[in-house]
Amino acid sequence: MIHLDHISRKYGTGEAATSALSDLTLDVPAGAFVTVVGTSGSGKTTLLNILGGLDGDYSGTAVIAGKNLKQMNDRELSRFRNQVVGFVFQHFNLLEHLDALQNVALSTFFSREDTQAPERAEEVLARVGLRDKLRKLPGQLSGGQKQRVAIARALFSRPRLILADEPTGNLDTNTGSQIISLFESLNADDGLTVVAVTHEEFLFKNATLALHLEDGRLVNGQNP
Amino acid sequence: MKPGKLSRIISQNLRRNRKNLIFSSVGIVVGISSFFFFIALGNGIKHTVAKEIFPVDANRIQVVPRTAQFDALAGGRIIDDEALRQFEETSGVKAVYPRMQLACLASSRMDGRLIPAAALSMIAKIPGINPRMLGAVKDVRMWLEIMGNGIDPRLVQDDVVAGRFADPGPGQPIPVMLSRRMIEIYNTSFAQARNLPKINEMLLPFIPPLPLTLNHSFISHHVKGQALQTRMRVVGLSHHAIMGGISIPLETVKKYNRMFAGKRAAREYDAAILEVESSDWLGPVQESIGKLGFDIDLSERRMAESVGLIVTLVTLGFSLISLIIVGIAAVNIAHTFFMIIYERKREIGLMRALGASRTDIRAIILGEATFVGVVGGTLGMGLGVAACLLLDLFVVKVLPDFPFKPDSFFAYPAWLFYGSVLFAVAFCILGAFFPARRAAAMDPSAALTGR
Ligand SMILES: Nc1ncnc2c1ncn2[C@@H]1O[C@H](COP(=O)(O)OP(=O)(O)O)[C@@H](O)[C@H]1O
Ligand SMILES: [Mg+2]
Repeated sequence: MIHLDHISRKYGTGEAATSALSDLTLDVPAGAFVTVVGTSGSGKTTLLNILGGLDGDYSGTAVIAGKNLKQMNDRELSRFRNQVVGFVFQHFNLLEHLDALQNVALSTFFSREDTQAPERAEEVLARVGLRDKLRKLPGQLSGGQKQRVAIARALFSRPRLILADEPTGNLDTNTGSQIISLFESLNADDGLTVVAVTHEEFLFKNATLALHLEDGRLVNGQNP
Repeated sequence: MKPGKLSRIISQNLRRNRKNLIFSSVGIVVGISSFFFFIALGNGIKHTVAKEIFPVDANRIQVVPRTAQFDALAGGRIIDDEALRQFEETSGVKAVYPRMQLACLASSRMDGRLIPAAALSMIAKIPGINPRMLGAVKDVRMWLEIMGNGIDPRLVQDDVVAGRFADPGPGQPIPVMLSRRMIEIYNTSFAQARNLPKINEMLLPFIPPLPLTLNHSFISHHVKGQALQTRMRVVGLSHHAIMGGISIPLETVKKYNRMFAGKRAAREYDAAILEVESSDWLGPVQESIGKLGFDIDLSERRMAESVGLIVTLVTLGFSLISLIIVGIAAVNIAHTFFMIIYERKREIGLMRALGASRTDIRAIILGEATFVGVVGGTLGMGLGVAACLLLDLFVVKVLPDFPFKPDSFFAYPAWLFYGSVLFAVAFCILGAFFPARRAAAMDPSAALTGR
């Protein structure tokens, strides 16, 4: 599912350049559950952005779901983000003026297919346990519910890869572990490949691969 | 992005930013409405100038004998039948309409008491004629010196409304065409002040024949020979009729010139109007005519051209001001959109993460601007139309008549309507262009983390 070959990512040029990722090589099979840990600034978000086709300014080769991202133009990359991956963020990034259904169906605007948007949105909201919150605005939802809406949004276009950047960072431990269970279920029951950045590694008991980043370098890539 | 989806997301965004956008489109509305107003005004005035004040037929030029002082040098000639024949043979000339001045003096003595009762009762029936006017008509005592000019009936055929314009048989009244410009001035000042009926084409058939005395003057006492009492009848109003006098059929003038001023006076035309095949021929024909030894009288045309030019320049100036207003509005729009994309930075990043391409982002921003332009342009156009109608209403209702007062000061060429909206859209798109470019170029990963 994920093949990274000597990936490096630098910000800035010359003296001021900081190396966000250095020479990262990685192989993740489909259906894996990957956790990424590391201190703040160690390059975790940078890694997810590269995996999701949001950041193309890296050196090396990234092949995701059989696609070499470097060889795709903006349109193809956009379609890749629309169809192949689903993003989940720490700060949810829901649009405040749209209700749960509309937030979830947002990606339909950018897809070529005429998805049965309301039906599909309802389906994925039910999947994350929010069947009764379809018409609620983000302001009317709790943190855990907001993150569930965000996960439903990531699931909407049936992606194969879920990229979650500190999905529990804004939640209390209890709610966080429920969200983690949801990810585990998506991995185990729906067969999705999940890459989750986290500070609370210990909560992910079923991870198949735990990556540890330090200053943009992979310290270990072992099976726990 | 599919058009349907694009318009849905645009309408979502517009609803959210309603206040900002309404505020920033005020400038567009004001600019476009003033643009519409001034263009319509300029067009209307030009129209009035061209149709009423200085109607110049683009394809006609007036030929006159070369001015006397250069006669010897430049081989000046008189315009006679031979010259007319040469004009006709000149390539590019389609028709020749000679003019001849009436060589004898003429006068008219109008006395309201002499109007037959039958004619008065007919006039009384015309709408707009009131008893006071009728009284004023009966009180008329007018001694007029009259200048006569013979014109080619073909030139005014379309303007004849009451009878025939051709040399009348003996004892019949002479048909007369009057200058529209002269009548306009009579109507709006002379008639008004004296409570006399205004003359228009509807009234002409009811005006009885008026007395005309040829070879007679109230002013000059050196008229030789017998005066001739006859009558004249106004048969139409025309731009081709002379301003201070009467225009009568050419043949009639020839006849009386022969009678009162001799053969030579009956042979010499004082001008000829040449109609050219197309305006392309104006130059070549002028040149040929010059070579034949004649001059072209361009005074009317020059006058019309300079008035037209002034109107055009003033219109241009005001339209420019309007466009500057719209331009400033476009800067305002740019500002608003920069603000909007700054506020929506995270959202744009999110949309990129969900599969929006750079083109999609640009299309969304420009689509919003287009909408603002369509709405602003349409409102501006509506406001402009309203302002024009209001001014017309004011002028018609409130201002007294003045010469050449038009029914409307405005003319609305079709392009002005869609042009207004297109201008507004163009300026809005121009304003949103750089914000859209910046939004599209935004690094989505940075936008998402709020960097
Ligand atoms: N858009 C950016 N511009 C400049 N530097 C950046 C940018 N994004 C990340 N960095 C730098 O790259 C490094 C890795 O950042 P990031 O991947 O966000 O770390 P993490 O997610 O592990 O906290 C940090 O030193 C950070 O300052
Ligand atoms: Mg991070």
